[in-house]
Amino acid sequence: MRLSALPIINYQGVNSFCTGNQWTIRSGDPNTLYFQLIDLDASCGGNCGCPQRYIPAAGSILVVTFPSIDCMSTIQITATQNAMDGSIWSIPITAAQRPAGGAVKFSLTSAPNTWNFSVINLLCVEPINGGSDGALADYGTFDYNPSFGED
Amino acid sequence: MSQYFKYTKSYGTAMYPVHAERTSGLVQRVEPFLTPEQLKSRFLKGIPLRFYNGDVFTDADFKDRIYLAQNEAELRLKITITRELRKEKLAFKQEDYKAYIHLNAEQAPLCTIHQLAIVSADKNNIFEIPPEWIETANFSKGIINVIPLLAAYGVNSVQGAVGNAGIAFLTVMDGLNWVPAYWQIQYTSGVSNAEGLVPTVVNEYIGCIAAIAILSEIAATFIYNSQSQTQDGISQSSSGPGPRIYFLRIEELNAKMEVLEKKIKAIFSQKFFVGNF
Repeated sequence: MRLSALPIINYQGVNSFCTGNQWTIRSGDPNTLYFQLIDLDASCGGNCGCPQRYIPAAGSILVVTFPSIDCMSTIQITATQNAMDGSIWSIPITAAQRPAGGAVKFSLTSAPNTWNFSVINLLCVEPINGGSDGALADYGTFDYNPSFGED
Repeated sequence: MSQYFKYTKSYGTAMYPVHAERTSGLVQRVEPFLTPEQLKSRFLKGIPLRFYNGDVFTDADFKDRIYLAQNEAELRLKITITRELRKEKLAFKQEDYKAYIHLNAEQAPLCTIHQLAIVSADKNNIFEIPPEWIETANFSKGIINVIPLLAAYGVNSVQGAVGNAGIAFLTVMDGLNWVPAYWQIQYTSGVSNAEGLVPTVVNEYIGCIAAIAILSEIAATFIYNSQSQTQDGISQSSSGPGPRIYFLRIEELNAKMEVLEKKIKAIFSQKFFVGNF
């Protein structure tokens, strides 16, 4: 079983949402990001051949990681499973949390197993001031802390 | 596993526009990674993206082509798109040593440096250059210099150096011409200080690569220039440019990509001019 996540945009309820290519947010805005777990190895059974949704067992824990080269900037959020549709999960992003756009990592623990996967270019974060990419702080310490699957 | 560094030293300006200390924000010059929607609207608008057998490019396909183009762009430009940590050992060259330890990192531009040290083949840290001496002004072109004038002008000691006894190595090296794998550097390199953002011109370059790949895939299967139908004495024929419709766009994108490649390389790497005078 190879799990993945489909980003949900314009979520109204479990019967009213659409999936997109990626989440697009503005840096510094509070948001709730929704996604649906899918099993890439299981087809939905129709002619489209699209993957089937995946509902983990009750009590499963899903941690979403927005990676960064600097461990101080890595953001980890525990996702909340939807009560009506167990394949749909959501994570809150506060105004103080500034994830970087790009790939997003997921870690689903459904005892005793853990599934790790990454979705490329899942998050797009629009800058507030796109005049430049800004400067980095000097003489600070730097703690490179690769998350799972990188070392 | 975590790897902890004692210091981070950068030049303190933006990576792009190079050396910009402050920008108004009136003109946007960096943006998030190219999206499938942007790829279609910027490079492929008005072009039929359908194969002869009915296959079409889905958004997942566009996303995949962007991912491939990002990796190809890194190779072609010899840059890193997102900031990544690197560790290298560079050779000791006497002429570079005398030119304030002029080191060229394998990847440019450098965002930050975390270590510059003389490390032996058995991985012992013999002498660590104090961060105060490391000149960061040419990081945008991948150049690291060591200018110890700070100490000469009144600072008696520097913080952060380890194994100070190894400083003797600096003077011993004066008699050698070349030592392979002498300086160990650990640094981050990337075209943007802000993760998830890239210079707009780099995105444009990536888009050109992706669009050319997509168009050439379709053009290769486009088999008809003209078609005609006849039935019971009534006939109709039509002719069009055939695969030329794609080739024209591919040629234009190729020309644009070459111009961008030269300009981006000029910003983030060194150009050498050799001539006889």
